Amino acid sequence: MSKVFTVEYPILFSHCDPAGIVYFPRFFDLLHRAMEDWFTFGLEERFADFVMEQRLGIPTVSTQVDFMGPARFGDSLKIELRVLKLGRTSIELAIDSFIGAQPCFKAKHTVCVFSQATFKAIPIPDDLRARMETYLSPPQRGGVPA
Amino acid sequence: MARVFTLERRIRFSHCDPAGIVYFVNFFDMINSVVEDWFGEAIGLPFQVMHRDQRIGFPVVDTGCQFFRPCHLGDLLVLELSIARLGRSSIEFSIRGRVGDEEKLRARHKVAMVSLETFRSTPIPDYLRQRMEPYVSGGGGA
Repeated sequence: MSKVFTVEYPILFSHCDPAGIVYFPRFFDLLHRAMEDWFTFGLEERFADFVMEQRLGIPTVSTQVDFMGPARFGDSLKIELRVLKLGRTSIELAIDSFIGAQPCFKAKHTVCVFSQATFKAIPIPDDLRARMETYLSPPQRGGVPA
Repeated sequence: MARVFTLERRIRFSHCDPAGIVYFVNFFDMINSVVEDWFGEAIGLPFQVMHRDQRIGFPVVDTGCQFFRPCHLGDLLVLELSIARLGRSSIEFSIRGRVGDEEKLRARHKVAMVSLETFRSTPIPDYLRQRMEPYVSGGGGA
């Protein structure tokens, strides 16, 4: 049974633009926050230590996001994170968000593990990979819920 | 030959993260900046006029970006915008980012015109479309 990491964040005043809806780059900030929380609470790999002690990082390789409906100040954004694919150095994630039952954004987001010493991608450490595998979505479902 | 709108951004301290490279979220703010400046300078529709006076907006429908190499403090990022596809109410931008000759990112960024009263999409008026057409590159590139 593959796990889904779920978090819920409030939409704050600072996320919103003069049109009264979330300024789209803030969605990427919320997406990154969900990844950080996944590391710390889902994988039990404290993200601050991963970056500051181990001198590693997870820069974005590519991202593709569909925005399906606006989010407004006061909304609560539920985010679901699944692993679609684990490469040698890369991690492909499906990150879907909802306000209530209404889809907000759906992202296919690929990061790699990199070393701050070389600024180059490195293989995912074995123990971390094993923990990530528990979040791997069954391929027949394509990882992204309808 | 399609026109290309260019914006230069010096990578500042505030753009960078604890891993020492630009936090990717900040690239999307820069992508928004090149779109905003293109509307103001190339199309003659500054965002304040668009949003406040005309009560229309161009929210993002979908966006995709590939990041090839990290950007660092002090880099001069050159963003180049053209239009891959001009729809009835949507504009799909092709945006490339480079530092010198090194390509750093390539984005496909789709926005659609909406009424701010209803948040429903509405056709781009002809006078705006005519100003946008020189930037249509016909789908090549990103």
